[in-house]
Amino acid sequence: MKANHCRIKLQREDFTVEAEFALPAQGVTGIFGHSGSGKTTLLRCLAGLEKEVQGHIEINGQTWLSDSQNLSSQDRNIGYIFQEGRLFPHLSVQANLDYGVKRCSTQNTTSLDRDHLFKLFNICHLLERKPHQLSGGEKQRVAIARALLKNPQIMLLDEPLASLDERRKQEILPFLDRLHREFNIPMLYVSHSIEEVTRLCDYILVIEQGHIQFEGRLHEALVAPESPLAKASNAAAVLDGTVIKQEKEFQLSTIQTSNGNNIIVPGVANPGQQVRIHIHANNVSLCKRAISDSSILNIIEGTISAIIEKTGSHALLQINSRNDIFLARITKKSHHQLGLDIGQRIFMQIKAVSIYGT
Amino acid sequence: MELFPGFGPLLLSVKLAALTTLILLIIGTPLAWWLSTTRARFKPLIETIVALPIVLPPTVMGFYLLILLSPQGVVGSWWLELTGETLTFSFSGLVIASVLYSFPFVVQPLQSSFEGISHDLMEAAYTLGAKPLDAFFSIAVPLAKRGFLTAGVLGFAHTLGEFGVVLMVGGNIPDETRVVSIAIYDHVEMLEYDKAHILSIILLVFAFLAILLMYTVNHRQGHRR
Repeated sequence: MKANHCRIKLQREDFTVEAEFALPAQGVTGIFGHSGSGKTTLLRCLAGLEKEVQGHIEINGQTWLSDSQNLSSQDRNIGYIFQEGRLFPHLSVQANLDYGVKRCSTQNTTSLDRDHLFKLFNICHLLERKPHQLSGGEKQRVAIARALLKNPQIMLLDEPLASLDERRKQEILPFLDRLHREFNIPMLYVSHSIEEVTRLCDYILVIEQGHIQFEGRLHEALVAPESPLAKASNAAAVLDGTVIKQEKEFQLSTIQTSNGNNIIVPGVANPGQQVRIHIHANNVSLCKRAISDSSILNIIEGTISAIIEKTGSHALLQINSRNDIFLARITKKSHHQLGLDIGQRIFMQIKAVSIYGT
Repeated sequence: MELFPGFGPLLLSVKLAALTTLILLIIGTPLAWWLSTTRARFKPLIETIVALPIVLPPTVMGFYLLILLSPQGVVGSWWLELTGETLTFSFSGLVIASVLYSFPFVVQPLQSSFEGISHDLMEAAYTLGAKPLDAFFSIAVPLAKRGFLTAGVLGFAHTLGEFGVVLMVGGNIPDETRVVSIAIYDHVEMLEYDKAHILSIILLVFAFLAILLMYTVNHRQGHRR
């Protein structure tokens, strides 16, 4: 995978961000960290909004930051989405949308179909309004469209959902999915919500106290023993697959992963549709033999590939099945009684109702 | 052409106030923007100098200006060399004095309205490709229009009502430095109360209307935002 290399150092009185990472030239890269971890500062450095930053940033062959220069925001072709939208209050939605377009070279914008974009973000009916007449979700949709219209080389999103309530979040998420699918623009998505990151991202940087703790493909970042995400209480494995079968009478679908595992999930989806499923470690139980008369629909054979941690009464195990990686959290007692160890064959039981897809 | 007694001084005052306000808006805007954004340690010092004319007795300011602007003074001698004219007891000198005297009345409203503009919006403009000056005129200026109105009205009205500094620096030369407040003082001295009445009521009504306009517009905008 083609990637841009970035090295960033920003020293503040009470805080230092020092990070070196690869920035994939395509797809969605998540920057995940708790509040105060420096993830927004990192994004601002990439956007040219921090003047004192040192290091090296080169995006698509253009140097944005080096020892001798720190390109201003207006000279980096970026689309930046702020937490609160930041629409200009004195301008109509239409004028807000035009603001960036007017200020970039014309050949840049012709490739984008405005009407299509407005329809996609469902903002056609808002164009005459002023920002104060919009809901939080509408504001954020306009802000995303405004950034996209200037046809940026890269989209930088700083917790675009954080200021919205749960209902508005669910309203915006599908738009972000579309953004991802319809536009071939690499995105950087800053979030402290693991749900958002696992839903949207392909690649992930985990940042803690200004330093990158882990970087890698999302699927690996969620299950790798050295990744902080695998040890989270809501740790989950994510698998991408295609719907191969639907059972309308039971409201179930069968998903086949790219490695050939079949997994039954609730809900009816059309065969051929691409889905991402989330399987929480707490919903996976282990068995030494395949049980045939169980209520559990998903029984998958695999090999224990790692024992990630044993804390309190729990043990967290990584299981590999045809190169799909799962997590299972069981009690230490079961772990002991079954005598589980690395390399052992095992059957995972996953309740279909506990799996959710996006 | 004397339409009514005191028309000349009135016209002179309006001319002086308009020119002063214009100059103040041009030099006060960048200074106010700088004050609203800077984190410089000497910012309080600059703010103090800007605010000084509010508390300083006009005679004190006038006295120092007289010394500075006189043909022997630093500024006055330079001006004399440049233009062949003296600054004291001339309209040009009055403009300089008025600019200094009304400085805080223009800079302070501008500064506080610039401070009310979130720097976040300027950042958003930069990320959309706006250069700093472009962002200033397309975002900061329209958002600070209440500040510009207040600054303009206060700068104009305050210059119109100027007395002490004018007396010290400009004296009482008809059509050159005899502004309306000096004319009123003159009329009263000579017990021409009827003439003083006419000019005074004009100034009173003007002051009332100007400030009413300012509050009305600002109030209405405050509701719309």
